[in-house]
Amino acid sequence: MKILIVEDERPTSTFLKRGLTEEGYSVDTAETATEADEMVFVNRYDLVILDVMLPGADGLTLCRRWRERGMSCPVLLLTGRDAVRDRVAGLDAGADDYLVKPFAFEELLARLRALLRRRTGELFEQELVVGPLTLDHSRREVKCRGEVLDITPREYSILEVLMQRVGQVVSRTLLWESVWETQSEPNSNVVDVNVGYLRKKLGDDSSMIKTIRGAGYRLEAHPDGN
Amino acid sequence: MSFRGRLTYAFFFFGAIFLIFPILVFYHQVKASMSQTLDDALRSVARAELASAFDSPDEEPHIHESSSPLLLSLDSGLHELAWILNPQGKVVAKTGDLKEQEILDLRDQLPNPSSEGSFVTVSMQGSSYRLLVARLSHRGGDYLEVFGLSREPLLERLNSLKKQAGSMFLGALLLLLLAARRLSVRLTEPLTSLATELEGLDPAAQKALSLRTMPSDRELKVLYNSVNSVLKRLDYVLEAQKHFVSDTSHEIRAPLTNLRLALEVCLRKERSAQDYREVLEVCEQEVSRLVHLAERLLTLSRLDSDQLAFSIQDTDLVRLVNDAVELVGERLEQRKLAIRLTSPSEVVLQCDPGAVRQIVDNLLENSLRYAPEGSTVAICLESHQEEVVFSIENGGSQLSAEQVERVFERFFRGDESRQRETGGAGLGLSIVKGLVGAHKGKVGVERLDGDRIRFWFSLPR
Repeated sequence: MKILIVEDERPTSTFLKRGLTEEGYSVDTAETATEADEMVFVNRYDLVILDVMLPGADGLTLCRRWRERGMSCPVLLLTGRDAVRDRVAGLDAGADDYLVKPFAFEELLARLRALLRRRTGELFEQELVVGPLTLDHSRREVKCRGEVLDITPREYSILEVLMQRVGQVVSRTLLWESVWETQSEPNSNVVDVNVGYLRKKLGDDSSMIKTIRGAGYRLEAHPDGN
Repeated sequence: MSFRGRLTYAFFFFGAIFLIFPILVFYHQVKASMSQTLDDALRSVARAELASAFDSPDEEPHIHESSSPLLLSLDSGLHELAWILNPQGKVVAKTGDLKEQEILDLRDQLPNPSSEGSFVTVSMQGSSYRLLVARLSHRGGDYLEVFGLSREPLLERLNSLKKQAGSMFLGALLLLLLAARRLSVRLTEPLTSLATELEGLDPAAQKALSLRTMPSDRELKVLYNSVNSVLKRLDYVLEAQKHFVSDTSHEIRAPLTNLRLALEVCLRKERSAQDYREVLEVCEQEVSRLVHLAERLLTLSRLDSDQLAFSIQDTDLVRLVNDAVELVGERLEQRKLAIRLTSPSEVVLQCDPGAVRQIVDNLLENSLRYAPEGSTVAICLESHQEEVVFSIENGGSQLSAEQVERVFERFFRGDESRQRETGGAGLGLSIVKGLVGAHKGKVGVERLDGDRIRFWFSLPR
């Protein structure tokens, strides 16, 4: 899950990034409206956390512009204003949710989960099941045949992307873009290494992840055909 | 009683007075002219009678009675009567329908009538008569001839005239009442509509406060325009207050968010001592940011409510400025800045040293924030007869002409993103303005050539 934080208060964005990264999200940050505009245009994000008061342009204008351009990813607004009028303006500008500063980090996490769930159309479904694998969004854990797998947040994210596209070929680029921060050094080898770790942790079910030569990976629910 | 009611009453009252005056004058003129006509007629009749009173063969006095009544411009004829008294006071001739006992003795009323004749009004036979009494000398004796004309038709005419005038006057009064009412409504209408419109104004509404209608009358336009300009000022104050509240809330929320986020994220799992240290350092910064903000807000609110107590004493401003400059020495070195101070050797002024130091500190802070690395900040202290002027000049300003005008407003920041790094909330200069104002001084700012800008304040001696 890849998230963009648009926030000009340095400590806020630093600690948001730290907290979210520790939760297994890959996080990019932007400080100005122009920067955010470019990043949204170039990269694919699962969610944008947007501060309303930004130097350059305000968050509402930015959000409205993105919506006009057809960007569909959920936007969570952060703001210091809590009047009903401001909330309405925020939601009318195309934001999906609204959080008033200073907010509790736990609440932010819960809202992120809700927004991401809504995006993938799972609405109330907490779990994603493929063959023997069960992925629990709220607890961010994966069970294989009832056993909780000890996997890193990155591995979790890789598995999430694969499970959402079960039976389809997922390119290394897509995995890279969905799981790693944009600012980090692009290195397709890292993807392979992490998929390798993941296979190892799956043990007997490692054959579920098939390597498609020259294309990427594919997750199969019943690799043995039964 | 309402203003409108009083106005109606006044219009009606004065209107009625102006109306009744010409009516009375007209009535009396008509009455006088009619009386004059009657007298003229009486005199001409009398003249003819006098000329022919003794023309009979026996030279006995007699009266020529005409058979038809005298016709004047009145509706019915005028009844005539006449009699003649001989020198002994005996009636020697009279008109036919006049009875002996009805004849009046006029000697009391007119003891000495002339030969031309004198007029007198009397009541005879139950009606009013106008009499002409003339003295006539005949054969050495003074005869008294009396001629009379009935005044009844004249009185009737005057009566009907009175009635007509009266009813016309009443009608006019009714019209006057309507007109007065109309006029007072017209006069008070702008007041009422102004009051209604003012009442309908909602300071909480988003729109700017102003009267939406504009009358076409010049005087009312002036009134509406001045009301509008008052409203505009009120609007500005309300708007500034709204901004102040929202800016304050933003300035408080930002450090609180940072604190809460840093602490909550930090406490989610075990961390290294180095990590904790880092988080604590951030928290310390944010807390001092809050403390700084609280102090400045407190100063501002005390300035607003005149609660700042000053201890006025003789203060050497040169030393004060030098002390302030000394304290920023480290920052000057870091950014390779130089300060050039021009001042007399001593400037002593009666003022509050703490407050003036705060003014100088804030201005210095502001200049150092923007001065580009390696540049010089010029401070100048001038002592004049009536005032002391402090000015500070630095480069690196990117304020536009409009921004310069707003620079003393609360929470004003020339460039949002740059200020975040330096940590100013945009309150320093508004505190400067408040403190200088409290010392009855003046404060100002000028854009100079290039990117240089000069802030100054003056304090009266």
